Amino acid sequence: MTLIPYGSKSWLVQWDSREACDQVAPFLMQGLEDSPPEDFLEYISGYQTLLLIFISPVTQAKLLTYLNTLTGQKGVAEPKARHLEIPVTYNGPDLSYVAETHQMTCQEVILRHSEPSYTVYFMGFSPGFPYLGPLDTLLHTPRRKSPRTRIPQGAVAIGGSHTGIYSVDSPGGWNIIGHTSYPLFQLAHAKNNSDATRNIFSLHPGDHVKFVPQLPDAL
Amino acid sequence: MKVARVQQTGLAAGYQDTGRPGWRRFGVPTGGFMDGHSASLANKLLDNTHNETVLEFALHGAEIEFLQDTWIALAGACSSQLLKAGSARLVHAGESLSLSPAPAGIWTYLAIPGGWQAQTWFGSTSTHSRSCIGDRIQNGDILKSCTNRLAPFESSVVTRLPTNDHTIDLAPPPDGFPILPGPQYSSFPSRAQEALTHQKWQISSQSDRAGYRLQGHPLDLADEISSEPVLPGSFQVPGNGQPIITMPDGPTVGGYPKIAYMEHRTLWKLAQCQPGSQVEFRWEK
Repeated sequence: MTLIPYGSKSWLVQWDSREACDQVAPFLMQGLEDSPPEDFLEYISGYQTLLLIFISPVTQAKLLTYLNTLTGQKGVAEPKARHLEIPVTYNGPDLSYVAETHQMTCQEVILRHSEPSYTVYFMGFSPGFPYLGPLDTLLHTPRRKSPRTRIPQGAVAIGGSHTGIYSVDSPGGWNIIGHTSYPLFQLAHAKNNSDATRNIFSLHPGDHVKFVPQLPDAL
Repeated sequence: MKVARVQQTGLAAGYQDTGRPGWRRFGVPTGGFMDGHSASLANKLLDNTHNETVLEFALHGAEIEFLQDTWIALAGACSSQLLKAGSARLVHAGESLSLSPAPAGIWTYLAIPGGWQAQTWFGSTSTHSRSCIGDRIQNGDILKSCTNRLAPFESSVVTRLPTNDHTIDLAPPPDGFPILPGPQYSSFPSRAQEALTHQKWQISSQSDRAGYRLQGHPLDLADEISSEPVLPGSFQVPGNGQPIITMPDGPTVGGYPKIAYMEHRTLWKLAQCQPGSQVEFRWEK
């Protein structure tokens, strides 16, 4: 675990691998939510990083002391990760392209995609968009050379070594293999300030997701 | 109360306040004023709190017709025939404000007493169109106030000018914008670290509230990184070697190495640099 300064008020915690990040980051995130240090504003998760943002400068020594307190009490702040099952209809416009690219059948793409339990590595791109992994290496597919101008909310897609779900209508370059009507981002709840984050975003960084294929009309 | 009608939005118009911190881990950018100093001045001229919702305009061309007698304050890049940037006055129903081209600066702020009325999303009224968050402003829209007290000052006072301490200098610092090393600074070849501060960069016309693109002699690249958190003010270097400076509406994560970082206290001034203008940077000790 390395601490890298990012401006005068933020620290980037970086791990050598996603696996190393997985072992510590969930505890840190839970600790930051339950008992945030002084002047703490918020955190942002990355693939193997966690950015800690403060409202005033914090010394490395002070931050280390705090982080050691959190990681030292293993199990005290047990991460509240959830397991969600998300129904997917695998009928996306790029399903056969992904299959051809990897010389497999569409059915095999569906099996390989819905087999694992994914972790929400981080969220970004648009509100509520989860970057999920690890994705079966046989399914890694480069982004489209020319992005689509509009991808509908609920599109399940593959971009490089990640899979994800478009949470709002937006432009995008990922390969769309399916669609879900599972509500990821409830915009209406965002207008109510007191609403719990779970009412707004179904998924949080660190949660686990399994895709459940819906009986296909199109296969 | 209905206060104004938007005849023309100009290049871009939106509601802004200090933004919505606390939601970046879900992919919601903080947003907020591009130039918090000018926005704050507009609010201050009307005795508003600094977080009151103002209208933010990009460049000139916006035209607002008033439907009510009201005090207004204007600050930032553009002036109009009704009043200059950095002042406030009482306007009457039927009068119109048109923003004239500005010699310097991009962003202009229009405030009314008590702020403009817009829905609050994640605790902020700031418009973030790409995420469908915040109310949008289009031609023909009727704009409302939060209060009916639109003339809180004595009617004998016709205009309010800022004192000298409140005049905002939008010109870039003569010795260059101060920058700090970004998280991947040491992964860049030393030639790139030097080249960033040893040339003039042009602000590209492909710049907006999400990011400002710089054009110049391309920087040597650093190794690719896996996606990680990005703060506004970051100098991301994509494959073409032309840095992109992340702005308040920019994405919360990204996969380009970041060679430098500009603190919030300076970023507002860079935000006011017009497309086509030249800027320089210097490493801060």
